[in-house]
Amino acid sequence: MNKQDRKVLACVDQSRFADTVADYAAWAARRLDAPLELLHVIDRHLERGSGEDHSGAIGINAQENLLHELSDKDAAVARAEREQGRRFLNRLRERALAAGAPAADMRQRHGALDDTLAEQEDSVRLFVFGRRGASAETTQPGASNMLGRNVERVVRAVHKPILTVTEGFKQPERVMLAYDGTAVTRKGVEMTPTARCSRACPSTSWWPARRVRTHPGSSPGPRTRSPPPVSRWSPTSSPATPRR
Amino acid sequence: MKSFHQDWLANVRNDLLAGLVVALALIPEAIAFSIIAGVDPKVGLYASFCIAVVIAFTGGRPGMISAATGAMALVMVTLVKEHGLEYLLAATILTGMLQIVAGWIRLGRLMRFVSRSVVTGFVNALAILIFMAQLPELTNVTWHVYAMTAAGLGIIYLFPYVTKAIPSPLVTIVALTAVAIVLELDIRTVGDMGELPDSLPVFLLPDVPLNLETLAIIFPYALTLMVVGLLESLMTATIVDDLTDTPSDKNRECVGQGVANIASGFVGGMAGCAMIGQSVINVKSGGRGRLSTLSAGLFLLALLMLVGDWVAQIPMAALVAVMIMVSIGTFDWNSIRKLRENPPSSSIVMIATVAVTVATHDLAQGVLVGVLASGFFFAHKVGRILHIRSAAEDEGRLRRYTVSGQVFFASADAFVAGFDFKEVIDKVVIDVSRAHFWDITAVSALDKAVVKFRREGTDVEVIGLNEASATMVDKFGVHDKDGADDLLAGH
Repeated sequence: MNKQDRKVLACVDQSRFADTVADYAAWAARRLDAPLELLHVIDRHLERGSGEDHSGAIGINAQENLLHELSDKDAAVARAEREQGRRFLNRLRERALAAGAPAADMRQRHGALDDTLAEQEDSVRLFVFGRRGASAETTQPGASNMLGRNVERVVRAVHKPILTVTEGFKQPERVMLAYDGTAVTRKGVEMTPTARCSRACPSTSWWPARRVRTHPGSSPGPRTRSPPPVSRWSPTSSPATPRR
Repeated sequence: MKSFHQDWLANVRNDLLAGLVVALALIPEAIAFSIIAGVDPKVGLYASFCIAVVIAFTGGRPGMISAATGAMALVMVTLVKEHGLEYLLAATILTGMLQIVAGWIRLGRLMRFVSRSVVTGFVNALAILIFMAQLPELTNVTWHVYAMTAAGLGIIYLFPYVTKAIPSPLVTIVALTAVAIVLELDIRTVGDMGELPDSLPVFLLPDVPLNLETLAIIFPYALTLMVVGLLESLMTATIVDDLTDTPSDKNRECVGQGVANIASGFVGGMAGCAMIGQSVINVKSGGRGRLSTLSAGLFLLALLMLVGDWVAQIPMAALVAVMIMVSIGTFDWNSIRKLRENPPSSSIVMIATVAVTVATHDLAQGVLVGVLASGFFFAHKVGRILHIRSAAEDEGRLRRYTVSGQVFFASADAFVAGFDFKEVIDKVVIDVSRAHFWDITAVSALDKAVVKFRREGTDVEVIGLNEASATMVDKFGVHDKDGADDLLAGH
């Protein structure tokens, strides 16, 4: 697929982050000049049963009747979810267009979030997420600052850039890079100056100094190889303070 | 992790409740199937406990219930009668081993040769056999038994209209047992049928000599048990797949059934497999995960330990009522209505499967006949997809035959009959570019046609043998090789 056609995929569910995700995705799509798609994945949780009938009696054509009953029930739920999701996505789409996204498509899919995104990966340039999904409010109620379960799973499953956002949209002004000299972070360093999103922002890379001191020879960091194309961290140029 | 959560913990409350419902329904079934097999009720009860618990971990289809089954019990009747329980236990272990091997070599793939009609025939035959197995309890008995059975069926089917919170088969059993005890009816009870479990199952080795003679006795039974067990298990897995709209791992299920049967054999249980009726009950009660299967097994054992003494008091009439319900619920009643609507060949396959099974009491033979019959009908149908057209060209000196369709053993005669060998003509062109030659019968039919034309002094040109057909001809054909006429002269 042509790189220009790859989209910014805003993954939304009905959590408090949805609006912010739409805003950031719209911003990113504008900066990248890429199409925007809003995706809502409906996980049907087929592993959960609905049992009100504990009679244990099976009559004539038990299997067929049960199949009809269960599929009718599923169909009713699916229709309701679909309609609700469509309205929700439509609202976000309007919001993204108003925020200046060049074009915004919307799509609902069934399945698990990580599987769905792994399938779509090839046609995506940037994933945008909230830090936690709607289910995190019930499954991880105490840890409101932690990444949600599904987000974490997706981060592990996909191999494309991911932007996770917290509540409230604010146009990014600086980019900070965490750098420890490994191949992955080197790639990040190489991508940063070319990425359109961050072209306008001053880059800062954060490099845990302790590690370099302990293994000066073995670390594949910029001391032993060619220096990365960005400035090393120095306390004056960074808004954040690294842990030591 | 995701899968573990989905399989075990996603549906805890419903799984536990469904497990309890299933356990209550398993007790009468396990006893009834033990009686069919001719062993003590405890053999079936231990088997049901053990298989349900083990398959919860090893099975490939979460939410499917496996235990001692009627299909398997029917196969082992003769073995038990002629050689006794110990040989049954040994056969059960061997069955498990064969099933593990079947899972490893992915025998589940062969299930695609079992057509829809054969599956329908299988479940119908199973239902009929379960029903027939109840008849001895209903012949030469007093009117009390008929009254009890009828009352039992009434409760089973009507009680759900009152409440669906309590399993109606349980209500039936409790009510009929109470009536029998209070009225001091002189009717047969479960206690009359043999020994009930009085302790937890313990590990024991079957008391059989480990020699070839033993193997020769048990191997045929183990082989049939393996086939029947895997057939019913894979069919049930497909049913549960459809009901829950989720996939299953069929090869893991084969291996899992094997492990469960080996475990069953070592604790004094009979061979078992997945149960269609119970799995439907489980799904209906909200059971979806492995926890439902595990809890069914554990509840079964706990119930036996708690109320073991009372189990002996259950009148056989109550069990018969439950088993008739299972048989009615298993039977595919729509298939009777569809007998006329479906193609005759499908209906014949279904009826043949049922008839052979009921006649032989062996589901494996029924399925074998069904599969062969469907293969036969398929070959017959595809064999009719063959058209040979011809037209004279070049002012009557040449005739071009155009063959399209499938040429194989079932259509080879029709293929040869499509040519006019008596025609007086200089040259014949056989265009087979739109035909498929599937086997050596097809190739030799082409050879025959070509050689017959040549005997009349007609030149033959075969054109358009496609790649597949060309390889077949290269390998087996004679007409384009030296000495074709010599070969024919010998005939």
